[in-house]
Amino acid sequence: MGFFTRCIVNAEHLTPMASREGFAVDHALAKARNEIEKSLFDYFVSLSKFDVNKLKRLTSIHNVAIKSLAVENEQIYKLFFPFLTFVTSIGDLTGFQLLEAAKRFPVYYCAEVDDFRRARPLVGSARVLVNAGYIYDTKLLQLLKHYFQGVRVEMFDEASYAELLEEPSDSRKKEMAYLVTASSQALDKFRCGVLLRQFEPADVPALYVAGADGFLDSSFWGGKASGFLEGFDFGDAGGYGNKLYLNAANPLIQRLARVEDAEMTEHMIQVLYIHAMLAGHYTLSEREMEVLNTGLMKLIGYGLGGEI
Amino acid sequence: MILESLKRRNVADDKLWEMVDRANHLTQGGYESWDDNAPALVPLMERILALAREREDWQVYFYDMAKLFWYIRRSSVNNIPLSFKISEMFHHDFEQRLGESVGPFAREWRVDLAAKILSFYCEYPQIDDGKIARMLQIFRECEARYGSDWNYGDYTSVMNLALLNRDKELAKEAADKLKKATFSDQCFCYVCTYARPMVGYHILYGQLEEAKELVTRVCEQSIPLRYRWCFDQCLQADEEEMKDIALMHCLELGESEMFGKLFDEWQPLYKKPKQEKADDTYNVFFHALAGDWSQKKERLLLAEQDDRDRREHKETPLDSLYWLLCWYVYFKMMDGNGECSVRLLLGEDAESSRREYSCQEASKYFEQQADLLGAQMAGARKQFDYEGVKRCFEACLKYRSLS
Repeated sequence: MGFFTRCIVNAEHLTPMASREGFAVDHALAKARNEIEKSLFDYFVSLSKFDVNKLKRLTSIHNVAIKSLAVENEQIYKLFFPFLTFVTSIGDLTGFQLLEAAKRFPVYYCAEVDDFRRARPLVGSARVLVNAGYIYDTKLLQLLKHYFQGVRVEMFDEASYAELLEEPSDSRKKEMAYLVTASSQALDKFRCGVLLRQFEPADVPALYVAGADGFLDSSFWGGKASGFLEGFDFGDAGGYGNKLYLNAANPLIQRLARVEDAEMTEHMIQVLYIHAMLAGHYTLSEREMEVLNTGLMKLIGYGLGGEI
Repeated sequence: MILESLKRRNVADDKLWEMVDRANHLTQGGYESWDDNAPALVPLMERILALAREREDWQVYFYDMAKLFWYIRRSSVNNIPLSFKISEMFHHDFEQRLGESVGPFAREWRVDLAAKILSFYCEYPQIDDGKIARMLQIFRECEARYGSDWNYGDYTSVMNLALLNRDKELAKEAADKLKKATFSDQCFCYVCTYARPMVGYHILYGQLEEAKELVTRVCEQSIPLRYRWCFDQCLQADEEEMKDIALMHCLELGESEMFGKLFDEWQPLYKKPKQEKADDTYNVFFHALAGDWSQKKERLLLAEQDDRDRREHKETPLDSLYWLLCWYVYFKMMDGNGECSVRLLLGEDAESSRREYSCQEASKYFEQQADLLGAQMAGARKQFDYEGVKRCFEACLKYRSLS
């Protein structure tokens, strides 16, 4: 706890090292450490009873340092968690506010900052999504279930997208069936599946979500097969983990569904795919960079009224 | 901590270090908290793998890959599709001679991964004798090229293969290496890496006293002092677990007589109802065999789960096969006890509303499923004697009558 406290220690019974820069690690030192820890903890407990504002100020100044202690010590966790702050989709919330929310409905968290940036616009204000991409936050949120009863804290993963994005109506699905089939074919070479959903904000035409094993998928499917897996039927595991969700509520997608030129649809959807990847801060591979370049040229060509 | 061998000075890239540090923070404390953190930890370790490859930090890459594979093979995480993907990645890297010039640390972990993939492959009938021989060859090549004395502990995987094939020569080779291995660096647990496979080795060689002596040594914690850290960390380092392992080896090696002798001696332990929830099929089977019929509801749920996991490929076929045989005999015993019916959701009926089965029907169902898997395993592996294993499970009923 040396990062925010200074203490005066009666070192009479401690054995200094030859260099006088520290103490020998022995029973006396361990006892002294325990005593210091206890004194500090007692002080925090008394603050929580008699001067909560001071405890709040202390926590806000040393937020990260206290989080590092809280992940390791249950007492510190229980004492400080209500005062710790977390970045969420509805602004900064305290641990107390999160705890109260988690008692009423599931609180979601993203374990990566980039995941949070992608998911935040979609969740709206109906759900609380915590950015747990910063050090200690994931572990702190996971410990919540262990230390408090009746709370629901869940990780926001690719399956959560499927829950969040609404199924369009049957008539809309029917209207766009051709687009979905053509899009699936157009993105097959990128190992990306296509699904039709309806979501807010409606001005987002498509959303790209990398599968949990997105990186490994390229080795699994793209690389030279080892031959060991011949004869296996992987069922669902064999489907592409990466998904492009087309937004049925988006006017551009609705117009694209009416295009009858198969080649044009293919190019458009590939550009939308690249756009969705860029919007999600994903890294483009060489093949995708190539599509970005040729796709843009083609779009200009279409804009000018024909092939270039 | 899962990547505890990596210190700040070992990782040049700041972003990579931040992720390594986070993975370590998620795995402070006991293995239970590790398993609780799987939804966050697995994607994080995959990202570490991707970034380490991009930054060509082969030390982090191979270490993370080996640790991730070990982690997802743990029974409480058990991510089979990802295990296959990592295996393919390993082969891809091996063929490309990727990171050939890495230091000894990364090389040792690479050998470790090869060993773990060998063990994983052993459990699938789609991996036939030819493929197993090829994987064993890759492991040997990998060990010769990159391995060190540290990798002796990896011969646990070779021992597993030897026991499955009842190959005494290969078992001897593995045992010789394991006897030279060290278990003091918090990587190879003495109980998991040495005691468990060596008990199987002694049973394969018909050395009942040696097997018993090894079990007793672990139960009494009389192992070298520097290896005793495993009793604080490992969930397998427990008396009942060790005895389960010995009995399990007897059944899987078709050693009915040895099973009878050991079970006779250890029966009092299994007679006592367990306090913990029934979540281990073999353990439930041994308790029932000793006459402990507690936790009936929990046991039926476990039977349902084993059946569901088999259908959904959430467990490996070899594990499923042995558990099916346990349930086959378990329900036979229930029938013998005069129990008429059980409430279960089984097989395709799980989709319908049928829940009531006579114990005979339930036993028959598990027998049929075991026979299907057994035929597949026996078809792929010449040395795998399914009929012998099944007979050995059936013979347990004989020892039950002694209890």
